[in-house]
Amino acid sequence: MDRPLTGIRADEKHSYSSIERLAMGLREMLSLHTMDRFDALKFFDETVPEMTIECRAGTIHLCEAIDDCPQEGHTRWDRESNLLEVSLSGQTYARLREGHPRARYTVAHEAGHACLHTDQIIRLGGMDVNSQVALHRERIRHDACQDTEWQANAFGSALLMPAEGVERLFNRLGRVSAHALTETFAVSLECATYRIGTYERSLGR
Amino acid sequence: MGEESFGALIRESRRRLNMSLQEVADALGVSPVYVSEVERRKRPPFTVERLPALARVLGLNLKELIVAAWTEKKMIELDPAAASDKQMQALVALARGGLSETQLEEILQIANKPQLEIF
Repeated sequence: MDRPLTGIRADEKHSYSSIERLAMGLREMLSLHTMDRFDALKFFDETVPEMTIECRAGTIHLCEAIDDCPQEGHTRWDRESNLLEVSLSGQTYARLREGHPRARYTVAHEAGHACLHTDQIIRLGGMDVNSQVALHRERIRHDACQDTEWQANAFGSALLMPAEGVERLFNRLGRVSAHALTETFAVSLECATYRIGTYERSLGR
Repeated sequence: MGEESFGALIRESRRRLNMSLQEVADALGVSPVYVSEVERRKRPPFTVERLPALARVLGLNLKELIVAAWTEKKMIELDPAAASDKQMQALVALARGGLSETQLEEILQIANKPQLEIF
């Protein structure tokens, strides 16, 4: 499923399979088995505050944050505290506590930004607001695989629905239906549909 | 406590106890957005009325918490409606530097008696 690109050009290109591998790395770190559901609330409340990421800027500590912001979530670097803030809106956090699939996806998506775009986020955080706005407006032409939002979406869906799990469902059912994915991994229908698309592309189907 | 901000103090204490923002918010009767913003210094420290509950839930010394909040706000909070005339007079004298070191020492000795522990 092709979506219009909404992000900026990422520092690095990624293929579906390279993002899969990175998302699998995080699932392994969380001791999640193939068919286990990603516990987004626990990840946000307990794992994020303990996480560190090694990047060009050194070891960066993460911090969970809840903001009175219009967007569902965002990830930013706070220069003063040198923390990478994975932030949810108050409404998204309330929905996350209710197990809302969209809120779970937002957490997985922001985890993607934190893991894939650490250096870029730090660089943006060091800019003044006008420079940041100019960068977003500039919209340098780039491929989907180098789009920050595309990459975070691919990471989020792989974190929620690992390729091996999708494969196992495929083998069990003879096909992968969005319904089976929503039931197994507690994701939204939209997210499941997107995942089937990325899964098939990663296999070259 | 050193140079640590009020927000950093409560964040570190909360994390040490493995508490979520929601759990602290519930204990204080505020939103998790509020707690998170105070922790990140996007809002000033909690008002003094909320600090006893915060000290209890985080196992912190209330006196240190109040001093940290006032230090960051660069002001001392007092509700004039809740203070007696004598308290107000004493505080005005203190604010204007009208109390000698000896008088301050006497006041502190009284205030620090266990049965009169104000914190």
